[in-house]
Amino acid sequence: MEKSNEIMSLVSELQWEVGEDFHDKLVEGIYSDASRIAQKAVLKEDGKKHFNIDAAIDKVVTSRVFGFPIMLLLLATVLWVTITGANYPSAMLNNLLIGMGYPFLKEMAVTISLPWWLTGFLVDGIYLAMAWVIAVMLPPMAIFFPLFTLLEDFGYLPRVAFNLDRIFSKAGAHGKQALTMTMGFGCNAAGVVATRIIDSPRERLIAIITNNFALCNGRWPTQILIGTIFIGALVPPYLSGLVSAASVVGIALLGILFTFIISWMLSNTVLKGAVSTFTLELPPYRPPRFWKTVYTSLIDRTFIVLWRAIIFAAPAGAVIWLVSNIYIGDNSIAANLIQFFDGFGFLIGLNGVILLAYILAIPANEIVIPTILMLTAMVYGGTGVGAGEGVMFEFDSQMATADLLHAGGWTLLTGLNLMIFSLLHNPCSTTIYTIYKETKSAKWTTVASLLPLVVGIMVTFIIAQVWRIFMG
Amino acid sequence: MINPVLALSLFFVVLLVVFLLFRPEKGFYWKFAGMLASNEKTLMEDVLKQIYHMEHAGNTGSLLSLKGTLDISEEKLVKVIAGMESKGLIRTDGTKISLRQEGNDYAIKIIRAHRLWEKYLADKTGVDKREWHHLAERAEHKLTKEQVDDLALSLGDPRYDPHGDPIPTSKGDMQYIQHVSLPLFPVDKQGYIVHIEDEPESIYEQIIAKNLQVGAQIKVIEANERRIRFSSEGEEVVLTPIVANNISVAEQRRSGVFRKNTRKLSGLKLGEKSKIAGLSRECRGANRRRLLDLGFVPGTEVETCLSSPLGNPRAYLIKGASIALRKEQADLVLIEMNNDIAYGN
Repeated sequence: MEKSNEIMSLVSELQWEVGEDFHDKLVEGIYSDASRIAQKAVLKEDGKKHFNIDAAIDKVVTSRVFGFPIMLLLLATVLWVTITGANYPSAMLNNLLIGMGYPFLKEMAVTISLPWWLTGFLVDGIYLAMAWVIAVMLPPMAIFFPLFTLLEDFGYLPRVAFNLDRIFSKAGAHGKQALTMTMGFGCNAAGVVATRIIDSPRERLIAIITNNFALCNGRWPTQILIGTIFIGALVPPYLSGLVSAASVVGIALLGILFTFIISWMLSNTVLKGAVSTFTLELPPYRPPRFWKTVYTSLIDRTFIVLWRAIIFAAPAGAVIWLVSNIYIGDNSIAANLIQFFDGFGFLIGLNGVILLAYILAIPANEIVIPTILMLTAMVYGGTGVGAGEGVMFEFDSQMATADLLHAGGWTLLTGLNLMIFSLLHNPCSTTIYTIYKETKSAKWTTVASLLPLVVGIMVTFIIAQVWRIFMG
Repeated sequence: MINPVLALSLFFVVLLVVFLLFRPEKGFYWKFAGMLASNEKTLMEDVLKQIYHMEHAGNTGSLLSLKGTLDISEEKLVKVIAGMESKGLIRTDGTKISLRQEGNDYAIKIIRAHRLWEKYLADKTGVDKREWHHLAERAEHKLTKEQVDDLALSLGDPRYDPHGDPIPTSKGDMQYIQHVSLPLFPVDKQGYIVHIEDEPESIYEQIIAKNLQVGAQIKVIEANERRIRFSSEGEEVVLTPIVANNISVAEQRRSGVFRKNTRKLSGLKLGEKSKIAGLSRECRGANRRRLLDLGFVPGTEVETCLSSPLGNPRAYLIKGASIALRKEQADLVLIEMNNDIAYGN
């Protein structure tokens, strides 16, 4: 005992002697030894020639002149291929699942004489919501994700992060957030999963919380439809296509602006003291393994996200049908709720129908427009439109949609604020669930869910008041 | 329908109130919470600490000097000191105030908590170094002895805080490194920074702005009453004597290894090659481990291979991999001077 005490006090004495960098010197020594041993033991292939090609590509894609144009061109191409390429299969799926599958199921229900409420609940509610999500969601994701993964596999994406890091670092974020944000244009849930590539805890959390500001594929159709009906209609017909497209791009850019603002705010307030490191490896280029990439991106990204969306959409469809068909007093639950939300909806330049639709459609942004149309037809007595209460629908022509919305009291302000609210509101439940799985924190999941909603309410509120002051 | 002008004004009033209450640091809510936290115990501990520092610097404590440094009313101070005397922590002799053994032990306990917390903030969090002192001032009053010991254990029982001050052991032992202030250090001799005083803040800010760090190797080139000119990690720095006074320097330690003349990796031009000399002491915690993992260890060859279109970050070729680092990280990686003559060895 005496002896060990003596040793311990000697140790303590010596600890002062060796100085504070003793541990570091030791670690550095271990690393140096390891690298020396590795250098002797590992034989390297003659990779000289290969490397020169890499350097040449790098010189071009990160150059001052070509760096940014190449990046924008590739992004625009990917988005264009996705949007135009998805049109045809989307229409086909729509035709198959809603045009043919839906009447077929209805008939079958009659044949086996199911009671009307069970048919409504199962077919009009659950089936229709699932069909909608699949038809709108599957084709763009099945195109976007493989394209994105191919660029990733080729080795180009880390260069994008490299090019853009300076801009993101100004907002306290990581250059790789450019990639997770782009992934968010496809699907926010996939974007949140993609933040795993950011190894710094603080920057990863920022990327997760702000991913929802990237306008996802489920919201593009809403933007395009409302942009065309309300913004495009302001100008002569030959310009309307261009103007409505510009308005949608404007909303997407607004989302990017909010990504930076919120990232900056987070990194300078609540996340100020979190651990932050930056490293970015620029791996060598390699020819993408095409089929393997397509296969894994379909399995890993597309189907997992689609499956989660279907699981969440099914009960949503059931709830939508139920609130429209269960009556309290003279009105359905939906009509009561719409009346209840109308006051607040008016305050932020929207209306009760939109707010109820956004609550019912938390599981999937894809069913927002069908729900809005169904609820509007139900409340404002658009007789002869739609297939009955609680049955979501869409018009073939935009004129008919516009007519119904105008009948529901919609103005230019309603359209504009809907576009903004569609960008700035809570993430869909699939994304919320994914955020929880990735952060394992109820606190950050709550922040990520409510922050965009609060921002959205504030922005639409200000627009509505300013609009009413100046436009009467 | 609510009048839009009224609604908008109401909204901005609410926004303003929330901002005034909760804005970072200066919000009324935080100030109020801070006021609640600063009770008798906090004040007493601050007084103990101040007397300790005064005695350590070779001065004696007095009511007047304490009032000057602590920024509280005389009335309050007198009350606290009377309480401390009756507890047997200090003894007063006319205007002189000095620590009893018990008070000395207590003060060392607080200092241990303070310096360990600074070490913790430096190594385990991303808190900016300008805020370490401020946050440790608060934490030192809240931590219990058990918590402090656990903290020391989890940090690997460190002996020096990030400013270069010794951390007392749980038994209260502490050794200062023999050092002099920078203006008094002999010209042309190789030394290193052992301590940077973090108070007063205005001078500390100036030192940080020059990128000076504890552990950095320096050599004084010129020293007179108007300015001190010296080199630090390959860069020339000029300071006024007042600022330089807050930097303490020691000769190279016997046990330490002489580092060759070094400069920063961020200064390596595109296409140039050099060898890693080491990582700056300022590179801490997760950042340090990450860089070591990537192969930024002494002796490794490194080449600047790419610059992003906006100039920052830049990519460095190390061990056959291309790794991008931001400028503030590359500032912390030291490389050998080209055509360098090794000192000392």
